Amino acid sequence: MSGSIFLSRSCQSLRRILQGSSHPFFMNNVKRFYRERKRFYKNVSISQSGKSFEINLDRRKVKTPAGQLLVIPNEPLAIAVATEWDNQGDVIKQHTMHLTSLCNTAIDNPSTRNKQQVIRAILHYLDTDTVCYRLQDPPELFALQTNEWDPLLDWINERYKVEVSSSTSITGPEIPDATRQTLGHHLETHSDWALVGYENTVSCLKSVVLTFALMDRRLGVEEAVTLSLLETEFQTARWGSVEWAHDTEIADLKARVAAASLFTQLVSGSHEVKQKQPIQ
Amino acid sequence: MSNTKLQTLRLLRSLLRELREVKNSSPRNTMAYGYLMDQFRKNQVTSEKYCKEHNEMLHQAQTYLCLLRSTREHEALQAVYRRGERTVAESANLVGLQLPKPYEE
Repeated sequence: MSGSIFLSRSCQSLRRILQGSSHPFFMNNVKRFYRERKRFYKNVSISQSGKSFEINLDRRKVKTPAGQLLVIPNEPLAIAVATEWDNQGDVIKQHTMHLTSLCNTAIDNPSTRNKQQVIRAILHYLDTDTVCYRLQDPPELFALQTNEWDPLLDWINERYKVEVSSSTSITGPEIPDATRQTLGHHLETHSDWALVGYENTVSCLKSVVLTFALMDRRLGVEEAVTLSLLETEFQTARWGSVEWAHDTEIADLKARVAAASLFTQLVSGSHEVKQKQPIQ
Repeated sequence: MSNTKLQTLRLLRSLLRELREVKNSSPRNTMAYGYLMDQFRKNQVTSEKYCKEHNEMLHQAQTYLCLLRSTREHEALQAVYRRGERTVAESANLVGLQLPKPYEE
């Protein structure tokens, strides 16, 4: 019994490591400051310049790590970012400011990639998509995965007219080129900013299918994270959860996914994604 | 219908509670408060006519709530486990027990 959980857990972590390694190394040329800074400002406000918005801390303007002005394309996002700065206590904890970091990434583009490269990086996750890999070993887990994940595969196949299937082999399912193209075309209709959100979501969830379902409002953030960690959930339900590992991971993942999906939604405008027709 | 209304109200309340908790004071004068109230009010009447728009707003609000809540939970967990896991003695104390004194010559 314990052998089987070890095997299945290590399979999942191995897959996560493999997927993680394809992730570009961000912040290559940018100095990072890990030291926590004291809160040096009192009031946070936003100011409009032209069509975009900036964040003011007292009278100073917030800049990105590369020294550019933090310019945000719309008001709701600016308010959310300003709220992050306003919510800091005596110490500025930058690791809690997910929306600010997403804006920084979008403005600085630290990995210096163009849109095509970003789209390719996102679609790379399709080859090792979490919901496409099934374990047969504990039959209950197999049944759970079939019940929970199959509806999503049906949904994406119907919604985007693609062919994504599941597999129990280590090599994974065959993804036809047409599917890659269709999903790539869909991603191309998004702005660079929205793609930053997509890429962050996909690298958290390790699944293109779950990311699309989340962005299309088919799933909520909590559901998406649970589905992404389905095997962990199954094993912790059986063997017990460890707060400093499992609960911390889930909370962190939820925060990151929520931030990235909110970011994409806010920069995509209010009536964008849902009106698109699937590209034939 | 009243059921969904109730859920919407609950969502708004949770959002405001999170904002209050993280600031440790009333969120009434913040920008986020104004924006949230405005959005919830605006979409109140049209919810049945423009179902999608309303759902979109609710989805966004739920996402934001999840962001605020998870960030707070994550910080709280980090604060607890910053210095590693609890020792055996601390765990025993949690349930009102004490470790026996080690034997000394």
